[in-house]
Parts: sequence; C-alpha cells; structure tokens
Amino acid sequence: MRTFRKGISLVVIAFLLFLTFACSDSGSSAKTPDTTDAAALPSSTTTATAEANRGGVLRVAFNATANCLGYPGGLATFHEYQMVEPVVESLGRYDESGALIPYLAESFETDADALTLTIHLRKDVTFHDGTACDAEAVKWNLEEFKASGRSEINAVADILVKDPLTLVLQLSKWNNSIADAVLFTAGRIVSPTYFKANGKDAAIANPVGTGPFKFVEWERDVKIVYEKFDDFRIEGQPYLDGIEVIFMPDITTIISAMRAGEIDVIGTVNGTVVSAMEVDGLAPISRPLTSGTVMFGVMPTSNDPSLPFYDLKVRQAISHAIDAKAIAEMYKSQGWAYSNQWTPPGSWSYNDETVGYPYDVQKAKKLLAEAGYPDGFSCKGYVNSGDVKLMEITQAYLAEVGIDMEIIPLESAKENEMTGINGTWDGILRWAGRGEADIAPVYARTLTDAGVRCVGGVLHPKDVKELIDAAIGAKTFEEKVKISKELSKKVIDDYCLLVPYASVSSQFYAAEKVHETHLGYYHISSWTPELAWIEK
Amino acid sequence: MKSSGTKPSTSKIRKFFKRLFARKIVIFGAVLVVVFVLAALLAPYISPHDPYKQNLKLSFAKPSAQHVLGNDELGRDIFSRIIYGARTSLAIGFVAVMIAAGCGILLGLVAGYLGGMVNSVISRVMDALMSIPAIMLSLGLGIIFGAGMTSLMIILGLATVPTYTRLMSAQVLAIRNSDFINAERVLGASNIRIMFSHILPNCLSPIIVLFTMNIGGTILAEASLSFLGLGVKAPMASWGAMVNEGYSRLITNPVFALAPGICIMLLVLGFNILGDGLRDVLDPRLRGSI
Repeated sequence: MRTFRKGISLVVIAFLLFLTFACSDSGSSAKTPDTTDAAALPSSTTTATAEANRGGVLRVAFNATANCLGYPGGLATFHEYQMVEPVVESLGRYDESGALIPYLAESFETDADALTLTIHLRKDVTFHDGTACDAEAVKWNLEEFKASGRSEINAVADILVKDPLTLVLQLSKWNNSIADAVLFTAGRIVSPTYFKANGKDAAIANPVGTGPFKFVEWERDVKIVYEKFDDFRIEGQPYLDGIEVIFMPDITTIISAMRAGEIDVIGTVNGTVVSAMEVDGLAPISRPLTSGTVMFGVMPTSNDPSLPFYDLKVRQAISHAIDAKAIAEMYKSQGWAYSNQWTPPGSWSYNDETVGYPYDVQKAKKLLAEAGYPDGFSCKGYVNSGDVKLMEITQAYLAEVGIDMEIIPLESAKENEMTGINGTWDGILRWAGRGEADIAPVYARTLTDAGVRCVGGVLHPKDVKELIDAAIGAKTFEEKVKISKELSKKVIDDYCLLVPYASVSSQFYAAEKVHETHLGYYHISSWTPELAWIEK
Repeated sequence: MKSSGTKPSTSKIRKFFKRLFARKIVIFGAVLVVVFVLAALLAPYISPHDPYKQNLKLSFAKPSAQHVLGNDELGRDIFSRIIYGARTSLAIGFVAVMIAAGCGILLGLVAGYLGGMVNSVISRVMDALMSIPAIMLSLGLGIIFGAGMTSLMIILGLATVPTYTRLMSAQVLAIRNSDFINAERVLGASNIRIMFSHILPNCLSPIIVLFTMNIGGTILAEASLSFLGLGVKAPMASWGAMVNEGYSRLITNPVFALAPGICIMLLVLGFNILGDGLRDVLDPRLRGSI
C-alpha cells in the first residue's frame, strides 16, 4: 500500500510540474536595444563614446564551425567569412544602399570597353607579420583564389601590377559583376609571405591579414581567439582589446550562455534563438537585407522526362499547392521575407510584374488533372537531415492535392554530392540558394551548363542562358536592371524551375552593452569588428 | 460435462487475476496500460483534431480551449498527435517484442535442447550481440534497414533477440532431462514434438514476464531512436520525435517536450509495474518483492 501511495505521489508531482510549466506565461513585450545604428561610419558622438568605453573582449557565439581561416579560396560559408573578418579584411564592402565601396582598397574603377578592372591600394598597409600589403600581395591572393578551383573570378584573364599600389585586371569578356566578385568575395587578403614560408595547411589554420585584430589561437570546435592589432591602419581603431569566436553546437546552450552573460553576441540563425530573445526583450541587431541573403524553397527535377515534374503543368501545380506566403509569414520573426522569385524583395533585380503561383489548391488539382495526374502521384523529397521541418510543411501541402511525398533526409556529404556539379536528384529538393541583387551570376551557377550548384536536376533553357549572358555583359546599370528583371520573371512564369518561398536575412542578437558590430546589417558575410565597442 | 470442464479453468484465471491485482500498484500499472491501449485503438474517435492537418497560423500556439496542449511548429494539434503517438509506440513496442520473442524463443529452444556445437554457436553469437550496446546495435541496424515504422520494428526486435535466447536456453537446459521429457523420448516422440509440445509450454512463464517488461523498454528505445531522427517517417506522430522537436523550446514553451515525455514515462512505468506484477504471480519465490 505504501509503495502504491509513493507511486501515485510521484505521478501527481510530475503532473503538477507539467501543469505549472504549461500554464506559465513566457511571453513578454520586446524592446529594441540601442545596439547598432544605421550609420556605416561612426559619428563624432559615437566615436567619442567608443573612445570612452575602450577595451574589453567581445565574445561571439556561432553554432557552426570553421574549416578554413586564412587561405584564399578556402573560405566557403558566410559563417567563415564572419569569423575571420577581425583578421582578414576585404578589398571592398557594401554600404547602406547595398552598393560596393572600397575598404582595404582605396578605390577601384571598371572599364567595359577596355575590359578592365583597376584597383588602387592604400599606402603603408602592412600584414600582421610586418610585410607590405601591396599590389603583388593582392595579385598573389587573387591568383591563389582562382587556382583553388573557385569560379567567381574566372572572367579575370590576367592580372597586371602597374605599380606597387595599382593592379589592372584584364577580363576575357565584359562582366559587370566582376568588381563585387573580386573586391568582396575573392578579395579577402592574407599574407603571401606567411603562406610561402609555412605552407597551405599552416595558412588555413593561421590567418595573417591586415585587420584590426591579430590571430592568437584556434582551438578547433571550441574557440578562436583574436587580440588587438596595435598598428592597425586606421588610427584609434579598434576599440576592443580582443574578440573570441566561440563554437556552440547546441542552441539551448547558446541561449543559456547569452542569458548568463557568458557570450555577448549570437551569430547564428535559429527560430529557437529568436523566440528566446523575444522573451528576453532583445530585438535583432540585423535587418532585412535586399542582397546577401539566403533564398529558400523547393526545386523539382525538371530535366528528367521519366518524372512528372518534367511537365511544366506539374511544376506549376505544386507551386500553386504550396502556400509560400504563409510559410514566410510563419518564420517572419526569423528574418524571412516572402518572395515569388529567386531574388530578394526590394532589390533592384526584383520584378514586381512576376505573377508567380499564388496558393490555389483547386487550380493545382486542375493542372495536375490536365497533366494526366488527376489522382496525384508519389514522389521523393530530399532535404538535409538537419532541416527536415520545411519539407514536412511542403509534404502536408502537397498531400492536399494528392501528391504523396516521402521525405528522404540526407547527410551533408550526400546532399553536397547530389547538389554538386555531377549530381542530380529524382523528386523535389529542398533548395537553398544565394539571394543577391545582382542575380544573373547566381542563376548562372544553377541554370546553365557551366553551373556548379543544383545544376544536374534542372532544365537549362537556351533563352534563360542568353538573358544571363546579356545581364552579365550589360554595359550600363539600367540595361543590367532591365535584363535581370526579365530574367527573374522568365525563370518563374515561363519555366517554373523552382518554387521560391522566401528570402532569409540572418538574425543576430547582441547584449545591450554591445554596439557597432553591424552583424547582418550591410551584408550577411561581413561586419565591422574595428568599430565594435562594449559599454562599461 | 462441458461446464464441469471449464470451471477449473475459469477458476484458475480468476485466481491468477486475484493474485496479480492483489497489489494496488499493479492495478495502477494495468490502468495506465489499458488507458493508453484504449487511446491508441480509439484514436480516430477521441482525437479532437486531425493530427496531420497543418495550420501555419497556429505555429507554436500556446494551450487554448480548442487545443488543450497547444500546437506544434506546423500548427498541428499536440494533444491529437499524442493520442496518435500512442498508436505508434504501442504498435512498435508489441511487434518488436513479438519479433524478439519469436526469434529468441526458437533459437533458445534449439540451443538448449540440442546442446553441443549448436548451443555453442548460438550462445557465442548471442554473446557477441549482447556485447554491443543496445543503442549502438540499433543504430547499426538502422543504417541497414533505414528509417520507417517497419524498419524500427525489425531493428528493435533484432536488438532484443539475445535476451530471449539466453533466457529460453537456460530454461530448456533446466528441464530437458526431466523425467517427463525422458518418458516422452522413451515413447518415441520426435524432437520437434518434445520441444514444442512439452518443453516450450513449461518455459513460458518467465518469457511472459520478460515480454511484458520488454514492451516498456522497446517503447523507450523507439522514443530514443525517434529523438535521434532514426524513428518513424514524417508526418507520422511519434512521442520520441515530438520530444526531439520540443526540447529546444524547453525554456520558452516546455509543453512541447514535456507532454510527450510524460506519456512515454507513464506508459513505460505501466508496463514495468505490470511486468513486476506478472513476475510476482508466476514466480512464487519473488512474491512480495516489489
């Protein structure tokens, strides 16, 4: 009897605990911290405040790891770009309006007729190993980037060192995106002297750049430690004594660490983080971007005649069957913005005239019937095993029109193989692509025979290729805008090559005492460690 | 004659249940099991909502009058998914244990009765299997069979086979040279007949106890594998998968993980208590030990 009572008591206690949690009100109003403001450059007031608060170590937590820190071409993910930003500077950055501006470079100019990009460097800039950051060093970096197999600057045929501070890049054909590719993507400049003396492996693990902070140590999967570089080229900067990049794979740990004050900034994208920070009254320091975002959606196999998706009507049917607007709205607090095309809304290449496929179940069923599938069909849905939820939502929508999609979770290696140059898939792929205002080069990576990502499971229409080439080769910005918009519409309205859901801007959170990091503010892959300061 | 023949049998059953439920905690365990079994069987009738119907506007909605436990990320009713989750857990639990018991009893019977080389080979294979941690073995088998409900049943069943084999083998060894078995041999009964008609029925009591207790363990294992993403396929409801989905929101909305977690705890507790009660009745030496 006593045992019985004990058992009952335990269960009652468990239920009471459960009810207590269940009934607790965890919602609260969010307040906006005065962390980063809109200014790209600090005003005299903010500079004075930063001066007054000089010192401290900024601790930034990521739930992603890094594989490379200091080898040209080795930086692959936006997380890696963010992690090395304190040490390795880029030749160019983006400003408030999304325009490319010189940063490590002093200036640059392009000449469409002469097929050249000329870069002028700053005087007296040195790497952390004491060697000069001159035209030869930049040339070596760009050549090494190309040699690593990266295709972004393939249009550069030759690099000429005109003088110690001037480079002239000769292009094989005109490409109006070349400045972005060279100055921002490829232009993360490290010391060639260090590389030549120590080799590639050492360079990967020991970034030697020109940035406001020097590399101290990288404890793999634990943390990266940076300390202030006293001879930084901008006088008075940086304001911090150091930066620690901390790797935390578990989101719950990141939230707990933020609440305990063990970290200052959360540099990651996750719905759980967003909910927790809302509860804590913190607003993101990032903002919705019109370039440098990640586009999410699904991409059916459109080039395999044996599959239903080969039929345009089937692709249009699944587009109508999925309420992408509702999906984007659901994740709005995580930085999702609905887009009916492969372009971030608000960007100059976004085409308001793209009709897209509004949610319409009846129309979807009608199109399926016309395509010869009145009762629907079965198919496979491929997705990275760490991101199944979006496919579950898609699965439920497709089930309403009779399409039975079996979700196949993929390990990252398998997903990379499937979406790589020689890969393909037979069904519906959870698609994630770069969301850039200058979208033509991004389209070229997938929708042409020379593509490198998600290229094997999608049609490569000839007229799309022609438009991509025309957009890349446009000699005026107006022409480029016009063609890019036409391209955005054609890919969706004429061919329905993918079903876009949203453009996702990363959400970053900082403690209220942290200022001027500009994480996720100008571009997802860059921030301003030299301006960051911590309020005392 | 018929009625006189059934009377002792009915009386035995009544006596069995009287002994079984002599302890109130066993009644509690049985009630828990019956409640969940009924919930699983009557799921389509008692679920307030379609467990697979998503409504993104209700994503992560807190408990309300319409949705007593709130809604999950896809806006599906958590209470309805818990009811349907009972189906998944119980189906996998029963079938996996049936597979384990079926294979284990057969192998144990053959090993124990035939002895010699056959016994050595089967015993060593079982020893080898038992030396691998159950979760590792399940993960390994998971890679071979893939995800899904059928695979889970097979994986969890195969991972539990050695327990039954060893128990059965030990039982057979204890009675294979009994007088009534020798008498059968002298009368010319075949090995098959002796094994299945005489030895098996006399070894079943501990197997029944193990069977009952293993259901709880298997449900827990299913929840663990589902938590690790190797469980049933979406959109099927599974308590383990629900805990997995909810645990990252433990701080902001604990219901998502706690509700299915408590169900797992109660069902496993029910089976364990019931198993203890059965052991108590079927093994007089242990009576009164719980």
